[in-house]
Amino acid sequence: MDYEAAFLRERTARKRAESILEEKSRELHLLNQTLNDNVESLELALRENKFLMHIGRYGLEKPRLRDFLPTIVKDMLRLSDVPFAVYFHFPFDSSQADYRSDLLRNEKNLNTGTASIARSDLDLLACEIEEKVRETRRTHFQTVAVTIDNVTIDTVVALPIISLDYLGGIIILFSQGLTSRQQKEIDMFRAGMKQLAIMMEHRYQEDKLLASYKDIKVANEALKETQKKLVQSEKMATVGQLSAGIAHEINNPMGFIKSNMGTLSGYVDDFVEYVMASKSLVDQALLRDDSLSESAKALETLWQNVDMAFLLEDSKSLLDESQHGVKRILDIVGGLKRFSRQSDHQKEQCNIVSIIDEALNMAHNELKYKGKVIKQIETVQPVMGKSGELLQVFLNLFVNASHAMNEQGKLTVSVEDKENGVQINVADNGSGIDPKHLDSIFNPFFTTKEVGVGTGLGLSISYGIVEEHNGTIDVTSELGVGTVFSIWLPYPDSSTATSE
Amino acid sequence: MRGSVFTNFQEMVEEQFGMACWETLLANCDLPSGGIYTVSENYDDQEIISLVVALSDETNIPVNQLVEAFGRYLYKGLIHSLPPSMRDYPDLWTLLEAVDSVIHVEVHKLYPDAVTPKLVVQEKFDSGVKLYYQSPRKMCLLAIGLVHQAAESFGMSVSITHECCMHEGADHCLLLVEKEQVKQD
Repeated sequence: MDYEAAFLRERTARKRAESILEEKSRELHLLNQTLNDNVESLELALRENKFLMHIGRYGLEKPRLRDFLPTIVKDMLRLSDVPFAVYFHFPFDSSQADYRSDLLRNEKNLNTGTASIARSDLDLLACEIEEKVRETRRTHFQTVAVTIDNVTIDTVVALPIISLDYLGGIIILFSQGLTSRQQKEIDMFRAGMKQLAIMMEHRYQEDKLLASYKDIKVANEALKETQKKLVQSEKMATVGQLSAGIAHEINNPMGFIKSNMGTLSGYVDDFVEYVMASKSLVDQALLRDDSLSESAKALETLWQNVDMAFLLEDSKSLLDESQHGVKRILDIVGGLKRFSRQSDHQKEQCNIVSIIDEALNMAHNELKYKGKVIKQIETVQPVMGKSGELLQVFLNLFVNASHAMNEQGKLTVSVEDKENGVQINVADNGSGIDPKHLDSIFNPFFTTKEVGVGTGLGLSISYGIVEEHNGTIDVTSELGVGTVFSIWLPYPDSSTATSE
Repeated sequence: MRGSVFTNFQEMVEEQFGMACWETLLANCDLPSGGIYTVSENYDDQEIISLVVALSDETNIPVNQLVEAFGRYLYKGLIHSLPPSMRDYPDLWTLLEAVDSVIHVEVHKLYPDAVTPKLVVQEKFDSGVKLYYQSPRKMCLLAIGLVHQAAESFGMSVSITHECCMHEGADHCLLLVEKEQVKQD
């Protein structure tokens, strides 16, 4: 039997089997490799997702780019295994300084090398790259030869962040060559930067929208305020007309009541004189012992019964009080007439400063116990007005201020040029006006003073006078801090700025 | 060491010295594998050394000479085990450059635990190349045999000289491979 032939056949068979095995192994390897590639690309996709999600946070959580950039750069380092990075931030707001970060190290391969790159070398390199990116405005690749922390760096990738045509930042990655995986990741970073830029743009537009919304809101509030003032002045005008009518109606009967009261007062004096003379006659008749004394007794009883002594005394005081009342009514009516511009003085050139001085002199008695008066007076041009009425306005304000202040009072009167007119501020550090009263203080008859102390006409008259002078009067007040009345009176149109 | 080296060695012994010689070698060597070799496994490096030494004893041929001769024999077996796409090279120099970058890469794909020697073309000249060899097995002679046979397969002959050798204390070998001018057939 030929064993050798059988052996050779077996040997050949084994070789074939081995070669089939190798073929299968090779196939298996290829399959494995495909599988690995798939896993790798899936992992890349996963990382990509995470990275883009992180970038998405910029849109959702709205951090400042300055605070957000380090996070993104650290993400890049971690994802791509690039050892170092540096980033620039050029704030859109030109009042903020540009910023360049220190060298950021990848936390994964943190070898504690002592020989880090010289600061000046890094500066130079960063500047060079910044210039290139500013020029090209696109991702910039460059080969270099530097050593950082004993790691040889030969590739630099610079990713710009360009939003609204503005270079907002650059991220520079320092790498040892670029593997195909790192290439892919850098492509992904580029996409991420574009997305970030779009979000920055959105945020910019959003901020702009918000700003214009705020502007509109402010304008709207100003409009409302003006409307309120308009309503107020309308009301004042109505009240003024009403007051004028009432004042006229009251004035006439009050005229003859006053006159009659005067006459009646004279009559009463005569009556008293006569009664007293009759009384002495009765007293004498009572001493006699005849029929006359009987009549005198009856009269004396009548005197006692009606309490004639009291009647005589009280009649006089009743008349006095009535006459006071009449005078008060006439004062009030006069005030109403002035408020409703029914006065008929002529306007003349008025020196506001001397009017204020006069008013301060007149109020001196009120003010001297209430602290000091501070004057801050600038030279101003004369205004056209009725000096008597203007004097009344200031006197009224000073007296009001003195009522509001205690002994440590401080009344500040300032006069200055403002918007083609004179601005007069009268500020006290008194008790202030309750906010709920602020709207009413210019209304006629409104007062918080005790009955009999004020008529409630002072400020409404002042308001009317200032209106008549085409000026404005405003008040700001804080309880416990003080009150400021601001009056503005315009210069006459013809006399343009020729201040002395 | 890869099983294919052993199976090729076995074939060479059987072809050139007979099956009986192989059996004698196995009997003399007391190998852990018992002489049962397949391509797909790895075997202890020591076994090939034992076998070569035993063959040298048996045939009175010096070990060095045997190793180089085996290198020449091994070439065909190794080239044959490559996938067809990697078998064709235009010349010896291209083949030598492909050893480290292509062929050994392919070996590692199939046998990730294989320990291949470092065999790199370090310098190129008009007349030849300088080869860098480094392996813990220090089998530069096997490499020399392989290169000779490879040259022959391209119809040329080369001279190979050691510029330095791991057997003389260097940490690598440098082999100057030059095309022989005088070619006789």
